[in-house]
Amino acid sequence: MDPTKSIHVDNLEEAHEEMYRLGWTDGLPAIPPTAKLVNAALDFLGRDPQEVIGEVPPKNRIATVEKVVVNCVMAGCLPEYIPVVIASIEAMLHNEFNLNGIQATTNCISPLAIVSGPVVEQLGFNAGDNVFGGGSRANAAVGRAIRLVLWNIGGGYAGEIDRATFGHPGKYTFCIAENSQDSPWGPLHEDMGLPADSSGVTVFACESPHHIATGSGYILTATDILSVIADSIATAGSAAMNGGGQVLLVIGPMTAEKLANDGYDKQQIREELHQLARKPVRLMKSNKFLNPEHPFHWANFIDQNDDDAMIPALRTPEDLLVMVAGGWGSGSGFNAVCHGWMQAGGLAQVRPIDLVKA
Amino acid sequence: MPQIELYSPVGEESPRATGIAPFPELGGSKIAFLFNGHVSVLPFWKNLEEEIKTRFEPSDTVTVIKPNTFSPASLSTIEDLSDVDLALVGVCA
Repeated sequence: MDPTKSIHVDNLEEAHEEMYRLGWTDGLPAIPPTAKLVNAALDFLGRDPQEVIGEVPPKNRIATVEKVVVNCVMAGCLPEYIPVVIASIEAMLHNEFNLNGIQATTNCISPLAIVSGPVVEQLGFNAGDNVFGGGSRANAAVGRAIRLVLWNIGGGYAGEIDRATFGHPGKYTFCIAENSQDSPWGPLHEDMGLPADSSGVTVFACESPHHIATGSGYILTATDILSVIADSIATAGSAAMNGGGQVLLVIGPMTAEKLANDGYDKQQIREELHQLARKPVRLMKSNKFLNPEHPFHWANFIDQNDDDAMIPALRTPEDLLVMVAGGWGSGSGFNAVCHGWMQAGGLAQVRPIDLVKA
Repeated sequence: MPQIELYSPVGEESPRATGIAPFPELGGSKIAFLFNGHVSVLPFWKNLEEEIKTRFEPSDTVTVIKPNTFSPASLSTIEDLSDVDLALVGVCA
C-alpha cells in the first residue's frame, strides 16, 4: 500500500484508529482529514494543490500545498490559519535553520513559531495570559500543524530518526504570539528585517521556556531586573554557555513597562545582558559537553587557563532575540527564556504572512 | 454504506531521495574508518567495521576514533588518511 495515497473507512471511529495504525499522528488524536474538509481548505486557499513548498528533512519528502493542508486539517486549523503554517515551513527550510539536524538531534530543541503583527488580532492568536499554554485555537492548531508536517512530511519520527534524549512538550505544539499591545518597543519581525507594520512568523528552534521571576512590580532598578534575567540565561549546562548561538527572551508586559520607563530599548537590553550574562572559566571548564577544539567552544576567544575570565553566554548582543508576550502577572514580573541549539542550527528565520483575501 | 475518504498526510518521496548512488566496489582497496568516540555508538562502529571487512575484503584498513563527538578531526589526522581509497565517517552522537 502506498502510504501517500488516500484511504477509505466506514465511519469516524474507524478513521481514528486507522490514523493511529498508519502512524499519521504522534500520539495525540487528530481530526480525520476527509476529502470534504481538505477540499474546502484548498478552495479557500486558491492555490494549486500540487504547488511545491519544499522538501522537508530528514526524509526529504515533498511538501505540496495539498499535503500541508491535510496536516493542517488534522491539526484543527481553520483555513485562514494555513498561510501562517506555510510561511513557517518556508522559514524552517532556510539552510541556516538546519531542519535536518533539528529533526534528528539528541538535543531537546523544537521549532517554535512566533506570530507577530496585525495577523495576531485578525486570526485570534493569544499573546497574553498563558501564551505558552492552552486556551487559543489559533496557537494550538498552528503549532500542531507545524509538528504534524515535521512528522508526516519530514518523517521526523520519535525514536526512529528523531533521537532526542528528552524532547519537550513543545514537540506536540509550539506556537506563541507577540503582545504588541503591551509592548513599548517595535515588533520582533521588524528586528528580523520585515516592515514594522507587516505581519510575520519567526521560527526559532529552542528548549522549553524557563520561567524567570524578577520582582519587576516592586521598587527595583532595571539593572536589578536584568541581573536576574542574566543569571537565568547563563546557566552552566545551557547550549549558549557552551556553544553560543541564540537565546530568546520573552519579556512579560510588567517587566517591559518597567524597563522602558527606565529608558531601555531592546538594543540596550541586548547589550546589557551581553555584559551581565557570564560565567567564570573555573566553572565552565568542568563542563566537557564540547571539546575545546570544537569551533563553537568558548576557548576560541577566552583564555581557558584564566580561571577568573568571564565567558559571555551571548557571544554578541545580537544573539539575544527579544520580544514581549504573556499576561501582566503579579508583582513578581514574570518573564521566560528559551535557549537555542548553539550555532548548530535553529537560528531564527522570518517570513511575511500574506493572508488570503476574503 | 458510503465510505469516508481520508487524504494521506504523508509526503511523497523526493526523486533525489531515491537516487542514492550504489556502494562502490571495495575489494582490494584501502578503507579508513573515522568514528566519533561516543560511548553509545562504539559497539556499533566495531560491528560495522567487522561487517565491511568481511563483506568487501579490503586490502587494508585504518581506524581512527575521535576523542569527542563534536570535535572535528584534526588536520594531521585528515592528512594521515589522505592515501586511502575510501573514508567512512561516523558522525552520530
